[in-house]
Amino acid sequence: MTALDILWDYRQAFLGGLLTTAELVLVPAFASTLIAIALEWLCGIAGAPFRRALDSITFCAAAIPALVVLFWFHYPAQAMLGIVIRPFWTALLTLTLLNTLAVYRIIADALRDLPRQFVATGQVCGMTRAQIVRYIKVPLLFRAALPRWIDQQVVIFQTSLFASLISVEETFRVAQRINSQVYRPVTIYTAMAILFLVTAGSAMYYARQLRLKYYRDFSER
Amino acid sequence: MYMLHEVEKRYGKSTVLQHITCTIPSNELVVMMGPSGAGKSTLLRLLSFIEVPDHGSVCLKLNGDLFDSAKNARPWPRITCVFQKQFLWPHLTLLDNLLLPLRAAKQRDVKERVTKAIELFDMSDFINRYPNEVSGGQAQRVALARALVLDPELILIDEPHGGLDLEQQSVLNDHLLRLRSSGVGLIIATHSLEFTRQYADTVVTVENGTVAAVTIKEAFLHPSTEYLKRATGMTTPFTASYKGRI
Repeated sequence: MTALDILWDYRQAFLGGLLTTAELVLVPAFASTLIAIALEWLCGIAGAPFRRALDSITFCAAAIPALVVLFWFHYPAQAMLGIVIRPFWTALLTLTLLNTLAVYRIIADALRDLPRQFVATGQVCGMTRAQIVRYIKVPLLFRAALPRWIDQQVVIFQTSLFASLISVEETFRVAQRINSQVYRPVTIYTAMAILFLVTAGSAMYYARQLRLKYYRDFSER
Repeated sequence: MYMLHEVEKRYGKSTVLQHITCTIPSNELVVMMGPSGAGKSTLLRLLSFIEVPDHGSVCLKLNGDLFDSAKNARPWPRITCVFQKQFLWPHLTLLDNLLLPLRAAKQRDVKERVTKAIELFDMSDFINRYPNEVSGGQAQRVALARALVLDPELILIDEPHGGLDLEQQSVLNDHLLRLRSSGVGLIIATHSLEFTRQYADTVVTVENGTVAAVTIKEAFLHPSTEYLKRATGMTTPFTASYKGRI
């Protein structure tokens, strides 16, 4: 039985697994970005105490392994609250939460690192606040944040594998189940590696190219 | 004419400028001198209204209009500023750096103005490059051109000679003099004694976080402050002292 035979025979299961993985990656990617932008906006309104609290939370979230957070939401949190949530939603919630905090950090860092003189230069050139945001701040922030944002989504893609440990039928769990039936670990896990190499590898390569393209050396030559 | 009254500026716990009460002309070539760290750049930022003083006020009377720092004045681009590090927008080509302020101001004769600026500063060879692809002197010319395309009445420039070789300095001085003769006011923070001697109409001396003197050029030749006396060699010139071995 070749790899192609396995893929063809179990195509329904693989497609279902890929679809679940896509949901676990794409929903957090978009939802987290919107929430993170809203959080940064809120920080601007609520001031330093809110930002400090959020910074503390992002620090803690970065220190605690994703698997611990996932298991915490799956077992103790639900037991304490006396509720039962489908594992898929638990995984989606966990990945969205972790991604939101990471994306917030990326946006906050990009804003902090933006030299204020670029904005001041816009001011003394007579540009309005809206024009400065549109033509100077947003393009510079986009260039600073986009490569890191792509890298972060790759991390979420890889982290989505942990969902298999709480019985979410994503790609890796499907692969494990099929392997338990046909027992072709070399073929199946090599196929998994190739899948990640093609998808995550492409995204990482793109992020690297963007970083090279957008990087501007401010020193004189 | 600038009118400064009891101006004070702090960054955190450190007081950078204090007790500044003086008038500074805005329609001639004013040179701001003083030792490093004396507060020249901070004073320049206050004069360009990018920052406001923590105490006191900065007022500018410009061709009949009064701008007051206490009233959130926004005199740009009638007055503009060129920073020490030019801060050309790095995501735009040099040409787009010139075009953006004009387009933002919805100027009609954009092409004419930019062409004129490119010719004036001899920038046609490198105008399509990005800021990181040109030398310090070329970036300085673009920054000056960007400040000029909107026809300001007053330009404040921080350390324009920094990082330029002698030839580039000479070319820059020519540009500045041409501006001066076309009626544009210039306030320039510089360490160049030669430039000050040759071209300044008024010299503002900043020492220890305050304006020590505002003098006309003739008075500058007979310096009154300790820094100027030492800078011009009237008393013990600057010497280096070392502790231990080198």
